[in-house]
Amino acid sequence: MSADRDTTRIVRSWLLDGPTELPDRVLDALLDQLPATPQRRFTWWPARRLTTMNNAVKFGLAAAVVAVAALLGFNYLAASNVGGPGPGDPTPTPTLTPTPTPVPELGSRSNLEGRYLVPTDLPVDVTVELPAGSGWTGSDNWVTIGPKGNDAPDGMAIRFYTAGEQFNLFNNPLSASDGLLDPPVGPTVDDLVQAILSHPAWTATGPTGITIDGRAGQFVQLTIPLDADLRPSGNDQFLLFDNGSVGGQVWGWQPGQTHAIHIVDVDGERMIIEAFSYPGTSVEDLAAQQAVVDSVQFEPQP
Amino acid sequence: MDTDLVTRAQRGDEEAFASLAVAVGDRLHAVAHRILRDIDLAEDATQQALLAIWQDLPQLRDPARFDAWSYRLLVRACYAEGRRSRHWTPNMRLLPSDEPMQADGSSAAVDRDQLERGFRRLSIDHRAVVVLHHYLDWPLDRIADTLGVPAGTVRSRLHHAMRGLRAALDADARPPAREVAQ
Repeated sequence: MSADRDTTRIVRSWLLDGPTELPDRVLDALLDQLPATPQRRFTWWPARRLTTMNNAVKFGLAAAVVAVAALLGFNYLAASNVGGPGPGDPTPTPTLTPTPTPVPELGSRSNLEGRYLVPTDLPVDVTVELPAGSGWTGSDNWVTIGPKGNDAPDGMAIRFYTAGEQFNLFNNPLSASDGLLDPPVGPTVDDLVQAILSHPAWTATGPTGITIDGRAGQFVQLTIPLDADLRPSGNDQFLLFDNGSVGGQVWGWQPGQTHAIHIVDVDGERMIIEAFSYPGTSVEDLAAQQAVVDSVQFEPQP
Repeated sequence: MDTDLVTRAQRGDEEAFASLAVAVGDRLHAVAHRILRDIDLAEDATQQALLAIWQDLPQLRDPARFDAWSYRLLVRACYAEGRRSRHWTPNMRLLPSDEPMQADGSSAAVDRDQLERGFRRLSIDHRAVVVLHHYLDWPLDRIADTLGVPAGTVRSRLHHAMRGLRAALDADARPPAREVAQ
């Protein structure tokens, strides 16, 4: 109990820090919008969302590919310089041991190019290749968003997360208060696949056996029904998964949104690579998205 | 809250609404920032919430409930803003740290750092309950009424959230660790 009180005290103190005044420019911008914003009378509250999509960035590979190739070539040549001295060699001289260039984390940055590390709680590093000039951005170290943003009508993104022991599905994707599946989803890839396929709230297809970087897995695809009414959830969220421990959730948010779910067995742990898109996402973008998924590598941590 | 202002704004009086926005803007923004932990997202959420208040004010049947109603719209705006950048954060790895913890008063700063990271791992649902309860000092039934969810759900969210925050602090109480995800 004293630990509880201590946590509460610390949290309360921590929450006191931070801004308490709304900048005038925000108010001014708001008031400027009023004349053009009619009030709604006797209509249902519509879901509204800011759509701050990234400007489409066109594909253009050449310069960065050359730079990456040069870097890879250097690393290859340096890495070839291994092995002991030959019989006629003079006194061994210290050789320069190439220091592997650390793979940068996905982070929250724009215009990603090259290979990035996606931190997980797995005993392996997960990396992904994003083509130079293709306009992918990182978000919070676990999502990479396509060049047209992650919202409808034509956006796409890929989310990377693990499905631990408490990973489960919601009984009703439109209402968190309806609870989680009971009994919960089992611990294997197949358990999760079957739970997704048998859930009545969405349309699901699969499974298909897959291999990503030599690791076996299963692919299933679920689509939020086109006639789903997301308003009852209160914030137009369609609840897909819950990780149990700290209340983390994976959502969809658009009828027709498709979630291509790759569940890979990584030494007994389930790694999920979830590529989502919309009916308006172009065939070319979907191909680019799949290429990013296919680029995933799992490497033992040093 | 001045219910007369609310009533006038409901009828489309922009001046009345401007006064209303000035009156509530600061506290809405303060709450938004504490939920979203990002100054830009918080400003956007506050602006969107105020715009939603303007648009939907005619549908507010009881002007005396303006306060609770405005917070409900704010939390919805926070959901939308939060979703722009994250929908769920994977567990982060903790590794032994190379750097010893300072023995002086920096533990409070470490607490805050750990709390910040722990809090960012919570969903917006859970953050909102923590902020409304521990920042605004609202009782759980008022939070339930504002968010439109059962009181049991609020209690459960608060329990889960505080457990997560306590775990974040406990992680720091163990031998020093550093988070490799950031």
